[in-house]
Amino acid sequence: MPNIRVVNVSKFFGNIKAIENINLEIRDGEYVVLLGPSGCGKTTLLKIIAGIWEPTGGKVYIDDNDVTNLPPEERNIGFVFQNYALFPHLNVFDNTIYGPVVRGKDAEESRRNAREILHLVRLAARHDAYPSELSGGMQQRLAVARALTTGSSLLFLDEPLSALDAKIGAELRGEMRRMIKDLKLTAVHVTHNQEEAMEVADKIVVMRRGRIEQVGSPEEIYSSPANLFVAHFLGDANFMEASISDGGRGSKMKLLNGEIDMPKTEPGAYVAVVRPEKIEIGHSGFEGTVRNFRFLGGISYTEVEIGNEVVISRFPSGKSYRLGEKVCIFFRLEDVKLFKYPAEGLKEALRVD
Amino acid sequence: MRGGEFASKKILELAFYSIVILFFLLLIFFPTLYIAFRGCPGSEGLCLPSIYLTDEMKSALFNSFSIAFIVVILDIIFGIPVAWFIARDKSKAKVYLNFLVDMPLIVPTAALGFSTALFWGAEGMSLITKGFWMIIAVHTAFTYPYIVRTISAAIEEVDINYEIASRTLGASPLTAFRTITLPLFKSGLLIAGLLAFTRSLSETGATMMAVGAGRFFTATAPVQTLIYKNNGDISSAISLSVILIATSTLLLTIIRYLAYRLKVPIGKVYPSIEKSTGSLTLYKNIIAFLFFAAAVLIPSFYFLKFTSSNPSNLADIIKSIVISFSIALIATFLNLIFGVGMAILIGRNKYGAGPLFDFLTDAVMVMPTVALGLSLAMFWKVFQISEFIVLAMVHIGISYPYIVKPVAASIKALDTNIEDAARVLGAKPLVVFRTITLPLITPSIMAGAIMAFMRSLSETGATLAASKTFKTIPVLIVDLVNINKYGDAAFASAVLLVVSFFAIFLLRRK
Repeated sequence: MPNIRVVNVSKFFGNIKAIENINLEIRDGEYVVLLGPSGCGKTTLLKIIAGIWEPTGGKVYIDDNDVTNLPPEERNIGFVFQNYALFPHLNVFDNTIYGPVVRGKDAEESRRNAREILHLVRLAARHDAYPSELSGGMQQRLAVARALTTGSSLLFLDEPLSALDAKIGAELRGEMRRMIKDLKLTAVHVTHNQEEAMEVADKIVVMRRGRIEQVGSPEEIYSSPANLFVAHFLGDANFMEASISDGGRGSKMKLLNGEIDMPKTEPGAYVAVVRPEKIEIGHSGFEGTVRNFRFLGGISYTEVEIGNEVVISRFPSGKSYRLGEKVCIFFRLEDVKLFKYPAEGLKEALRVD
Repeated sequence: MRGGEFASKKILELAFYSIVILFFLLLIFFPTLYIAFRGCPGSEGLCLPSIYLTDEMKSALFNSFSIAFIVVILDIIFGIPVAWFIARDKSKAKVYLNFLVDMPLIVPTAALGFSTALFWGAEGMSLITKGFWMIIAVHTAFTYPYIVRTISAAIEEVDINYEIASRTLGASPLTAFRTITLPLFKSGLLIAGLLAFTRSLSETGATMMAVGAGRFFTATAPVQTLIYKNNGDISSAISLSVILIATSTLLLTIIRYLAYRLKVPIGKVYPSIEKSTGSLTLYKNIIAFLFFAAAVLIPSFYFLKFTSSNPSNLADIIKSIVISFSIALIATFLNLIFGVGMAILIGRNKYGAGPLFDFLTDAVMVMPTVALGLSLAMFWKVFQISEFIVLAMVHIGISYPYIVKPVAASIKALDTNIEDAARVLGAKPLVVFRTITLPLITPSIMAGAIMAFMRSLSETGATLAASKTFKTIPVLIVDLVNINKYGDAAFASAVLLVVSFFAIFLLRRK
């Protein structure tokens, strides 16, 4: 039963620290997504777990065996590459059966197995086509099929959907998760697309600049982000400067153009984070001016200018607002996440690169 | 109005390419085939020659082909690990190794043959006596860099992710190489093999250094052709030349056909055996690098040890250097103008004629230079022009493909969107060429010019076949060695080496 443990893993390329002191545990049957902006080290971490790259320091365990120095062909894994790396000189069937062939498996059994897997990914009819003759979606499915024939219960996916059109990618990710869950595989999937991560993951690992920022289920990470960057990278959020001071029995928080009473909190400068869907537009609350209104189908989107800050509200379509219209916004205190105002400045704390 | 402008531009373009094509056909291609129609040695009229094969010719041809075959096999076995290292290594070592592999290329083949023969022979290691095996040693030394160059370029073109994918599927490094990388660069390997084979087949100057005086008369086919010509047996020289031209063209056709159709069998895999060879990797690399050092690099420069400080033939050496460089410069310059035009025609497949001219250029490239030189010289002498110009025309013919091939390849690889982008921004076609295309292909033009220059400089066989009065530097080296003036020959070689090194250095810097 696969169970991956990454202990204190670092990888340096010359002076550049791609990842530093990463610790991570992946349980059997879990679908884990490594999420982060490009250059955050997520692919480096994946390639180290798969054995394609050697770490500069640290250890990797699979099933409690130290595999740190084991080459990829001896780790018994499946790997789906970013651009698939389908062998251009082999047809669909020969690509699929390549793994069993080079491992010297029983020919008849592996042929049967390959045919079953091709059925599973709906490519059985195209078994004699060459990769260049397939559509992007088919190539992606073939890459998954080829990775599955190793019979491993560990599947690694490096940006498996990024080369596809948005619509096809969105369709395939649901299909892929279902299949991986049906086959009871343990999957490690790398992406920079937070929507994709939310849809497929049991557990998301948010990375930035070679470090892990937060690990948790999609709900946990969305509703209680560990820091400003995570709040910013996963879903939209309003970031409002706030200052808290003592006020008798409780505290007072200055926010936008008003002041709110709240339970006792340490005084100081804060950033208040509120998700757009938690902001309602009505007749009481903070007064502001509508600066932008867009109808997006099922939901609508309004930007309200209050002082020199802009607050975004998202709500099920129904109402509409004119530019320049005076409105009030309000939100509940329990929907506000407070973070200490970052020493490096708010912009720097949110930067994705 | 706009339509009219388009039409006149089309006519201008057509005129340009017509000149390019005419230059190639009239001044290079047809003259190389002229020999096949000069059957009557007595008259200058056209008639088909009677082709015959004497026992002497047979043994010369047998020598040539078996030598070329053994040389290619040696090159490939010991060349792949080094080429692999150059293509895949990420460290600084790659840069130095690249430079070392290029080094023998700047030694003209006659000097290289002289040097290698000294190294292995009685003056050096005393391991090989002159004759069959000495020719192999000499040919290996000068073809090895070509093979490593071409193969490492072919390996570099294969995306490394295919290998990694194969490894994650359970293939050992050797299995991944055999089943994935090798099938993907096999056409590059075949072309490299063909190039080395034909270079070995056609080399004259270096071969003359390696055949012992006693065995001179059953040497290789190009050397035998020269002997016939020098003895006045023109019909035998023509016969052997036509056979050489025909076989090299046939070989080219077969290899080009196989390059895209030959399948490397991968059905059978022996996982445990192939995996166990993993521990041999280090030994394999060490052996390949030792081979490169001992059989190529050191022999190439061994002659420097013999360089005389007080050459008795200084005047002749200087005169030959002036002749050699004038001819190489003329040939390179003219080929730059007309060859780049042909490269564009092939690279962009103008009028659908790309593949045809690609093949014809290849055909000229693989022709043994003695046959080519003999044919070109016979053709140009019909016009009663001075021997110097005849010699220059011969050198234009032999060096032409070396400019066309690399430039055509880099034009083919160029993204045409870049040119379209310039057009959309308002650049006229000529401006696009000058400001966008030309700067992007300049490195390959430079590389082509260096190759053409070096080919002209080091050519012995074609020069001997074309002229008796003008002694280029490799011809002089051969002469000096034949009269046992090793010190002077080494001096001439060293001067040539230094001058070509600086010529290349200057070309590269621009």
